[in-house]
Amino acid sequence: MIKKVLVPTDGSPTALRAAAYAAELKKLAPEVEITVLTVQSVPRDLVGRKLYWLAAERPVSGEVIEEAIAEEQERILEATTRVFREAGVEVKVERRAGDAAEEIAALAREGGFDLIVMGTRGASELSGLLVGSVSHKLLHLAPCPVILIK
Amino acid sequence: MFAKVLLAADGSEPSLRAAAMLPQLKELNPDLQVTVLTVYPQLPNAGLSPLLNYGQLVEAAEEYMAEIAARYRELLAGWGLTAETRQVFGDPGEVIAREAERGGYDLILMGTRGLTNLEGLVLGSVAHKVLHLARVPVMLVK
Repeated sequence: MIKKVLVPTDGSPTALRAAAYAAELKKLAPEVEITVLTVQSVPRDLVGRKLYWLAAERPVSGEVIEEAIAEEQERILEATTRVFREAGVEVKVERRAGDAAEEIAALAREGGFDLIVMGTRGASELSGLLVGSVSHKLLHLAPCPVILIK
Repeated sequence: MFAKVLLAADGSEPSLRAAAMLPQLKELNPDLQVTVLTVYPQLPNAGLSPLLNYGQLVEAAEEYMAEIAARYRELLAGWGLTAETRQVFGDPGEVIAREAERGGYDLILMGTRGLTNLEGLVLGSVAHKVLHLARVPVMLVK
């Protein structure tokens, strides 16, 4: 029985479409419980990462960056939970830090989730990629079926 | 949602595990309709040994697909599900995506990799192509 559904989000258009899809699922089957997850990661691109480490060595700017990342995470959560709120669907929220695919798979396993619904690719990935690196890695690690939304 | 599901069926373990999701989808939507789609690569007509008869090859492939379809029908019947079965020649990824669009399916259900893919591969070539071509959601099962 599909009861616990995990919706990882990075605020990208496909992630928001995945959220809308999960909201529909909840309307179809009200017994389904939905959890929205954001994973805070070190900036993925080279410049971002370099800046991050440079700044992290200076206590003040390090804090500024931590704050900026935390703010970004809240913005992503707000954009995603808004989709559910507008659909009249209640969700739980989880925040994690680390490698996105690994954290998603770990929560799915620990929380006994039955299904993951997510976008084919995220915000930080090239639009030419069919399947983003996070989705791809998650398909490898996921303990349950995954619905990918374009 | 989950009203019309296209199951990509090649007889592989991941595909059979994908089929095993159907009773759960039926619980979510009792009106679930399932089509079991089996695709066999287009057989080359030219350059074959004169000892081989093209018609016989096609027949053998059709029989092979029919056997797979029967296996899924039986499996589904065990769960109290009936399904339409379709067998098509062509590029599997292209056919699955095209049939999903044409038939107005709301979900493609398939294994992450099929019969012909290497064990180590996360995402088989057919699943990859389906994700590229299809606009409908794709449920992938390992």
